[in-house]
Amino acid sequence: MAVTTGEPVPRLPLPGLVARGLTQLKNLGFGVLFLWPSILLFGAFVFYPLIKSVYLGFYESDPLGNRGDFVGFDQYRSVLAGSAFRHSLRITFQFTMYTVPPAIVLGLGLAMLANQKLPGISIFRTIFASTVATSVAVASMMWLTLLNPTTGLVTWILDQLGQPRLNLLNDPDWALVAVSLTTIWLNLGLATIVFLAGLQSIPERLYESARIDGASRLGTFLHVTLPMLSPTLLFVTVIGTILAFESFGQIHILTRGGPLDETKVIVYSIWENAFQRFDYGVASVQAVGLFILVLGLTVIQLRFLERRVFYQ
Amino acid sequence: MATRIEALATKVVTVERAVRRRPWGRYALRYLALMLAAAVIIAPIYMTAVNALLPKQAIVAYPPKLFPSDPQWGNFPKALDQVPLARYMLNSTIQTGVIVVGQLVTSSLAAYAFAFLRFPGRSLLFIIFLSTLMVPLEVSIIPNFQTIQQLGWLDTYQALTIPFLATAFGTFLLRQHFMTIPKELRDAAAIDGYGHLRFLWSVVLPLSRPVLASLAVFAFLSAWNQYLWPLLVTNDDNMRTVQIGLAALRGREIDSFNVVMAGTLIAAMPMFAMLVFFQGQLVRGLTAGAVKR
Amino acid sequence: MSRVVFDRVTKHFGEVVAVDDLSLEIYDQEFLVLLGPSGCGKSTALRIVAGLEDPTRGTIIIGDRVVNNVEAKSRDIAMVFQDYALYPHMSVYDNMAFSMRMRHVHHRERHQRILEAAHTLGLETLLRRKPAALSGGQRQRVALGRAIVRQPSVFLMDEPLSNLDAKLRVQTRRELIKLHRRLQTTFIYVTHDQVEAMTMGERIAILKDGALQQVARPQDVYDRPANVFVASFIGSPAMNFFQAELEGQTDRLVARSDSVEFPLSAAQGQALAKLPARNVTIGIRPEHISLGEPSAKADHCMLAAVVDTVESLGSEQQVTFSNADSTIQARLDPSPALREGEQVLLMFACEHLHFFNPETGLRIEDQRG
Repeated sequence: MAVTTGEPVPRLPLPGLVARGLTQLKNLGFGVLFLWPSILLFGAFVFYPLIKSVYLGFYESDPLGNRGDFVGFDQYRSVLAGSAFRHSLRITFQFTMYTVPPAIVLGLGLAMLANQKLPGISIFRTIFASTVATSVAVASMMWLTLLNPTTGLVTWILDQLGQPRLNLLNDPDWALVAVSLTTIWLNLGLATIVFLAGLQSIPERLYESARIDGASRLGTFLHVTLPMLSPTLLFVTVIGTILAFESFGQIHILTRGGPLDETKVIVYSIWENAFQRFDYGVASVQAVGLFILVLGLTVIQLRFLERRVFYQ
Repeated sequence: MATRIEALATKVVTVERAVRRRPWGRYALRYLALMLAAAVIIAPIYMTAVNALLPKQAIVAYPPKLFPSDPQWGNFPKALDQVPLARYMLNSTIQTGVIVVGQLVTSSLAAYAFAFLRFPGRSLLFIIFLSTLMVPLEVSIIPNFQTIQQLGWLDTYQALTIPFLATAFGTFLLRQHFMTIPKELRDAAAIDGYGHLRFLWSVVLPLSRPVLASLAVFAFLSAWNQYLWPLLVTNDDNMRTVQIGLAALRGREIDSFNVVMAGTLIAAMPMFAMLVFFQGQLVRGLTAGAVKR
Repeated sequence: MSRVVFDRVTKHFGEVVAVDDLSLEIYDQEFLVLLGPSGCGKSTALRIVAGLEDPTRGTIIIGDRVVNNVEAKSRDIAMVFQDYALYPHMSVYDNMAFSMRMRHVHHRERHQRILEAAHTLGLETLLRRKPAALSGGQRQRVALGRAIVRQPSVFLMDEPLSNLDAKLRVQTRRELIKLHRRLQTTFIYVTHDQVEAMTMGERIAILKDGALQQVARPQDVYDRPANVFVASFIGSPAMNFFQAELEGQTDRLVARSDSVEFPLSAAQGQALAKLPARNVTIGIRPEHISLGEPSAKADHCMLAAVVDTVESLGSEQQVTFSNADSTIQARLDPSPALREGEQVLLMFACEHLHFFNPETGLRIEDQRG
């Protein structure tokens, strides 16, 4: 990393070593001055909680939420290997698979549609990007209307397609799909924006070169567009997976984890255990589990996928 | 006379060639695809708007109405009336405002330190900063909640804002930008006797306006849309943010669904306004990590 | 057959006319240079041949077929871009193989062609590398290699040397000439550098504001520029111009410009007699000016001038002179070495005068062959 510095000229001319030492000290002083707010905040709200979560996992909680007996790794073992955690793992993985790949495919598709040089294209670009302005709460409320079993548009469409009035959010087989649909829509704006920026960074010359070389539209897409987009694809996949694992809001609003726990993702389970059942011990174990999971997944994805990514 | 005919003939031939080469059909197909996609994307927002304008009886209609024949504009003030939306907006505004300003300040200072000050352990400290990106909020909610509780900060603005005043993403973004400031500028400032703070305020920050704007928009977006944390630390209806207040509507007057939808639209307005007016900065902030520019 | 013909080709970009009624035939296996300042339309013209732009009007013919509606990939051309446009994620080998893969050329044939081209261009050791790991000159050769393996009827090159440093440019120029001889294929080469044009082209086509000014062999463009623009664009230092008035009778005409008298020969006088007005623009190249003796005044054009600046190149001096109202540039022998402020007498070789119509800028032909 080529980093440049600018040391203010020392006011008094001092012999070399002392002057340098003084400058270093001065820099350290300023460094501390400029960095202490961030360090304090990170320490208090990021690192300390992480350690404390691990610590809380060692203790059972009583029904009032107070710290109970020390049980060591037993609680870790029983929770992480337990069926409830495995269930929420499965749901979370399913949710991720239902939301991340479709968001990538659709986002890329929308971005390619929006990347054409047509009059009025900027209006379409704004529309495609518009869901980035919707929060989880707003999106969930909007989709509540659409998914309403008696009057919703989605219900009506399904009815036309031959499916009798499905109460999606209350059907254990479909609830996760409905929540996923909401999430995909929510994330589509962001995905489109990111992919559009990626597409626009591909030099026009490469496309012209491919045109002369005789590449078909598919060939150009496979051999020029995709490779040049690979850093963006990696970014979206990694960040998308992380965000999917951290989802909470739409489940809280739409299904409250049900029906039959079929939408109970990990974070929802943590929240429920901690703030509905006051079982801080179990919830902390789950939280630590989530942390390791997300960290591990990210590392695996980076390792595995980065080899296929081409950087300029 | 002859030349004029020739010229006309050339034009006819050229137009014909143009048509053959680029049939209008192909353009029509593209616009069709665009409009279809736009319709699907807009559908939820559109239906919400329609429902917000429907009278009470109409919202239980099936098939669902696609256009309000008798728009009840009164639903909007009703929403503001029946639900303390204004108060929620105020809380969200304060929360978001403080977080945005706080993040700009802390990350500017931190980025300056990392970009311009050479001190022992700087690289290590920077890596530690970046590592906070790996610890999601959801993982630390329980101890953070307990901290807030012990400080007596439940149902206060402090709880909504203080934990989020520092940002590793913002620090990273600004540091990248600060490092592009030419050394000559710093040397000149040093010769002119500028101290660090003065240099930061008078030179570095003005040169970084676009990045700062992008960061501000990004921070605004994340802060305004927060859900889990405000849910935890606010119970008092007076302290609820827009997101939580909106979700709480679900439990209320279910038969006044149209009013709920009106409320949803009102809650969504500020962010849509942001998108329309600050689209450039927004896009830049969001794509900072994804695309090499 | 790989001749290329522009038949009254015009290209509009909105209000801007990039190519203006261009008619030009490029012969089979010719090395033709499209020369002109930036924005003169030469790159646009090239792109129209390639099929990357469609002409607003006019016809493009490659070989013996009209290609206006033919896709770029089917025109049997290859293009070398100014910034090479190599696929950054592919190795040199794959870059060169790409077009053949798209055409489903058999892999053995592909391999053969790549090896041959790599050998010609000295790229054998670089085949596995990616473009990011290559120098500018190497990338340029890969771009050439990519074009060669396509075995096209026409090579199109858009300022391929401008991103190279000076020394490399000279070396690559010579290699390109040799390459052309070897491949015996039509080359259309776009540049703004007149040195490249003069050294490489078999013919040069000069464009200005989208319109063709002159197309001829380099020596002809130099000796008999078709108008003032071509005369001033070709040749360095540039040609000197004087505005003059004609005096006297047809056989004893003198063109007088404020401070200089140009006694004209009979042939010159006859040619100039056709002028409607009595004004003429006279041009003389710097190398046709020398230091003169007062005694020779009679039948030479003489001019008193003061030395302004002297740039000594070792083999010659490039001197800028000024007199009452004009600046004159001359290329003189290294000795006698002149000094700033010196007063000298300049002598023009009157048989090397160029005459142009002051209204149209066009060359006035005299009766010398």
